[in-house]
Amino acid sequence: MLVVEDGTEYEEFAKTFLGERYDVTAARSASEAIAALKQAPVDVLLVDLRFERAPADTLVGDVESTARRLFGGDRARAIRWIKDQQGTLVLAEIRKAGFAQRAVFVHDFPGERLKNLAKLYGDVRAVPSFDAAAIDALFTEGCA
Amino acid sequence: MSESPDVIARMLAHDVGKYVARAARNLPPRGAVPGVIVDMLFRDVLGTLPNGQTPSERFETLAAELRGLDDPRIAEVRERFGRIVALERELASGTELVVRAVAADALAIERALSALARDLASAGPSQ
Repeated sequence: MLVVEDGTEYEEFAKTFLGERYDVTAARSASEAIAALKQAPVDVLLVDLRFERAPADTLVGDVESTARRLFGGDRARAIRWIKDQQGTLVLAEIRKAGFAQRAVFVHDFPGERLKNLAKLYGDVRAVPSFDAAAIDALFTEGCA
Repeated sequence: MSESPDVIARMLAHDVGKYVARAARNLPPRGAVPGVIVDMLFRDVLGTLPNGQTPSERFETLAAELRGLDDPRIAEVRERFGRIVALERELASGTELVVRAVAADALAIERALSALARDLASAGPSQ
């Protein structure tokens, strides 16, 4: 399992509650995630959505373009928006790099948003809370 | 901060509810709780968030933005945090009864804040 997040909460959770069933590695950015995926086989991704603590230079997303398109040129709001969505932007980069593993978010997405994410990024699932049994079930659901 | 109530409620559910319940939701169903999980539970409910606040302080900061909202779940969460804070020393000692009581309060906080976020989201779009 590859955990992608800006802190250590997901990694600690995964190692504590899923560590007996999975080898857990962690990445803090899209580039680290892609490097990890190239280095060793990974079956599933556990991805944080909000990267509030990530330094701006590690974020995926075009601040200037986002500010212009969505926020009337307001860069601060654009950076906040990019941080709030970073997990999906990281997943987009992972897919672009050719990796199609199932991705699980721990987030209470509205149903329509999750459907849209699956349309955009393929095998995407979500659980609303840190529920190890539910996450484990999503990791293995439909897998041979 | 000048976010709309549904955005504040979403932040409460994410910043407070989701993380206070991280270990609480995964306790072994019976018997002694391993020390590593007690420590994680302690940090989840009483530790310091990345912004320097404890979960209950973060809750109060965000709840203050919802002052006009008369919702009993805000008072319920405040009361549960009060109980958790009062049990700090006993929780640190890992007494099973206390660990499970704190976990129950943490899960109830998550439930209350998630329900609040869902209700406010369905009440209308963000401004």
